[in-house]
Amino acid sequence: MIIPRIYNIHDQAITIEFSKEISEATNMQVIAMQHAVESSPIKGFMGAVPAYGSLTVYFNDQVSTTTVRAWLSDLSAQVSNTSLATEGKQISIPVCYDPSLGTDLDWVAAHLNRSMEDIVALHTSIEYRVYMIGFIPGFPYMGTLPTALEVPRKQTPSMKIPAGSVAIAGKQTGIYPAEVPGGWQVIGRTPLKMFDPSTTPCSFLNAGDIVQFKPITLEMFNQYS
Amino acid sequence: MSITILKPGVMSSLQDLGRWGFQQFGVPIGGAMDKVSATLANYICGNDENEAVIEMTLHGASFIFNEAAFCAIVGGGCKAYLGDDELPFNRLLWIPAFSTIRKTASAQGCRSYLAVGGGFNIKKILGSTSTYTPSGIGGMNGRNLATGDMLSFKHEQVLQGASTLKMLPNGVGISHWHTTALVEATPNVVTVHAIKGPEFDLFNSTSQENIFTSEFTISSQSNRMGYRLEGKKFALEQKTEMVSTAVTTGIVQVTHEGDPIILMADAQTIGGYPRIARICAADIPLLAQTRPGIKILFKEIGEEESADRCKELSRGLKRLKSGIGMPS
Repeated sequence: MIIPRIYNIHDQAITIEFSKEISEATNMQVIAMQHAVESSPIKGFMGAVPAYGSLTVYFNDQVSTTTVRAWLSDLSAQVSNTSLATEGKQISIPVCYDPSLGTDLDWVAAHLNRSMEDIVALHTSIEYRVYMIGFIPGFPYMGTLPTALEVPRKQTPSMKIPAGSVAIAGKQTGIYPAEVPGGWQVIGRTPLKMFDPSTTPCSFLNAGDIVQFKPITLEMFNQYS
Repeated sequence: MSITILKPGVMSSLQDLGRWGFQQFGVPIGGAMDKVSATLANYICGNDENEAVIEMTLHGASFIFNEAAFCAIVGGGCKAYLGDDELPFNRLLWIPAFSTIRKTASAQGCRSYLAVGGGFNIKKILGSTSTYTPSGIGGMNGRNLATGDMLSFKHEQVLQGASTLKMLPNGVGISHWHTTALVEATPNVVTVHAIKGPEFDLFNSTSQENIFTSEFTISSQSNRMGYRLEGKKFALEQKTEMVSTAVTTGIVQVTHEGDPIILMADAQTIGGYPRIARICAADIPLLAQTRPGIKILFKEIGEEESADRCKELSRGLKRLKSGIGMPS
């Protein structure tokens, strides 16, 4: 068994790192650890943030670093002994791949020497795991993209990527929840809101969820209003 | 009771002590850059420490009290005036109705915090009043304050000892007591305590030496998300792509170009740059009061000393809280 590395990133935040690699098995361990931490919180616990291969817990001055480290170490030993059944939701996300919305679709197709239809077929061919939410509120980091779809990030990031844009970069795919600058290649857009502070939870997706993209026409996209 | 913003100044916004419990959805903690000054301003007004305060960066803001009310200003970066009279920081103030407070430049500090007795009546979004402009949430409709914004108070604060205020001819009341400034004024070179970061060992030996011996200048390209630093460049021993992991306030990350950035209050929740150091959490308020153009030096300390410094700060705040209203 690999003993996870435990380190402070702040006087009141500690990371437990299971792996430096991106793998589904590791991320399942991270999510299992998150559930363990949230179901038996220590006094002073303020929240847990899953990433690809690590979980970070935040706490306040009611508890010491030493106590938090020991708590994480104990829990991780328990988690590694239990089965890592995934509890993520299965979610279908409608995406319009019209080139007017998927503004980099033609570039991606040309770069990979394939038709735009091929790109859409490839992107919708498999289910993706949501590894973590970050970058900006509600942004899901999903993978793993089919090898045939791997493209580099933009040389110069776009100043404005519209909210709902579905994009790819390397082995990852993601959805921009708000209009922000960004460097991923935009191949479509979903009419769904990825982040809404008035709903519970505020993020449409959660780490551990399984996502399938469903192509819709421009007409259907416009009907969602 | 309310105040109206006449001039918003630079990036003035409503902040509290942060938005907790939503970082797993990518929502930054945010809140006041200098949480010590924000806390003290609330303590002086008899408020809960987490009440919304107005964070003002440097000078230029002015606002009018539409009714008479208690308030306090803590921090730095400006001087506050009512007419020709300078208003002291770190004291309870009684401001008469229809008074205009304006802020002018000062040489010290960077951010000032205005708390009002009873607190501002601001709707909480995801459990916090803190303004986070990139997502348009919190504060005044998710944006920085603008001319004409009227901020109403939750209720009128009845403060014991108000009758003992020293009254000026213009009607302003000033408490005889004051709190100590826990955040020291800015000298030419600010020393902040720092601990080796999670990726410290991945940097080459020159970088490892420079981080704790070289001076860095805070760039004008700095904001609530982070401070960019100018000075020696950093490089990894071997080029490696990091897998993204959680980051937070105080992390010193190094971009692909070799430039260090200190993450501040609105730090994103996850990052992918190697982290050469982290600032002791007790020194974050000092950094928040350090303006662009000032040089900083990282003084290396260990994990334990860092924890001790945080405990000392928290004890200091408790002492000040219990001393509020006492003669100094």
